[in-house]
Amino acid sequence: MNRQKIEELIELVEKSDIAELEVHFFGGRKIVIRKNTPGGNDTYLMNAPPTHVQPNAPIPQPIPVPTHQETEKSATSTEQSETDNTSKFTEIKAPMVGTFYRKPSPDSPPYVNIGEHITVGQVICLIEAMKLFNEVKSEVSGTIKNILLEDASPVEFGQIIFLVELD
Amino acid sequence: MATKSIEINLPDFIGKVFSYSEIDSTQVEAKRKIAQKCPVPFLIIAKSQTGGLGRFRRKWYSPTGGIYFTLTTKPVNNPAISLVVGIALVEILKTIIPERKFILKWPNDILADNEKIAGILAENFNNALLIGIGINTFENGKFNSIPCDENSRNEILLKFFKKLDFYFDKFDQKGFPYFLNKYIELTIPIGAEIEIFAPNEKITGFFSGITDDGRLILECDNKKIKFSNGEVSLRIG
Repeated sequence: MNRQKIEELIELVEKSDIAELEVHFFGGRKIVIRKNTPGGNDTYLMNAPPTHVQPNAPIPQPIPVPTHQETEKSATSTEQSETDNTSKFTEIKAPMVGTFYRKPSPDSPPYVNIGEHITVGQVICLIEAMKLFNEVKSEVSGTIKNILLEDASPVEFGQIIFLVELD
Repeated sequence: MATKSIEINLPDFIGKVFSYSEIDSTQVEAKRKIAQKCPVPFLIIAKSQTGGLGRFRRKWYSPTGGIYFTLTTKPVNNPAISLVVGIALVEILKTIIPERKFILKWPNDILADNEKIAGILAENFNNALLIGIGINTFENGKFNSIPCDENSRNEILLKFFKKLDFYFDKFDQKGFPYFLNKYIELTIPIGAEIEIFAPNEKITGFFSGITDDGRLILECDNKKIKFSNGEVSLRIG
């Protein structure tokens, strides 16, 4: 899906009565378009397709994500949004390709949950590649606002895993 | 309670040796030692484990008579180290027990006559690399195991650690490409039909080789797919 299509979808949502549109694509990728309502934000979330890991294959071009400014321009062109906090969030990206795990073992609780506070050096997930399990540590302190991958999902190098609101 | 029980002279590079007649898990004990600031490198070795762990806390049956240890060394970020450990172990097992046919199944399971007899689990934990290994060896050869006695077990350990020392240096200097041909010689034949259980899917195809960074190449519907994770199952028939 290209940028023009996304903008068309945004326009569709804007003109309709619906508050949120979630579009799932073949392969697991999805886009969520949420109308800017009082107390709410325009949010664009994308999940990587749950396909097998092909690190040597060209990394698919990410769907262009409208920036905060573009979002306002296309979806809320007549009002200044001061409630959109998404752009304030810091992204924590996968340092390697592999499989993402939220828990140290299947029976354990997750390392972190949405809403929890994390500190620099804290282990926040595991990534496994070729039976080598790597702890991923946070380089920031803040509050987890979103976790963009399911447990045991494939992850590409550089893919965003967590959104964090810095202290 | 764990007690000291194994006395062998191992190469200096593995550091201090903590040996036990019985322990819950050498991997768990290694993590406890690290948490207690025990200097790396060190080795945890046990004659039996009450809670031996495989990948994802799957139970690894660990009665007396097997070889169970965790080597703890400096962290390594290149996941192909996992394959290199497998190469070293298979090469030693082939030398000491030539009557069995050993195969290295990607990434590092070890089969003897098509039965899994050794598992390797590597973890980067708290700025250390933990290499946990379980080898099913029994004097009477019961279960899926390699028949060997106490002397053979010690010989396996000594030779394995010497080889690993050498291979770690090579891996530091030359990376996985140095090991690629060795790996291909020890693994399943090119063209073998396999299933791979990757996250969220199972794919059947033909084994087409290993990349020079250690990933498995599967040929499926005339396409070559590279995997960095997954469990390979051989289709024998």
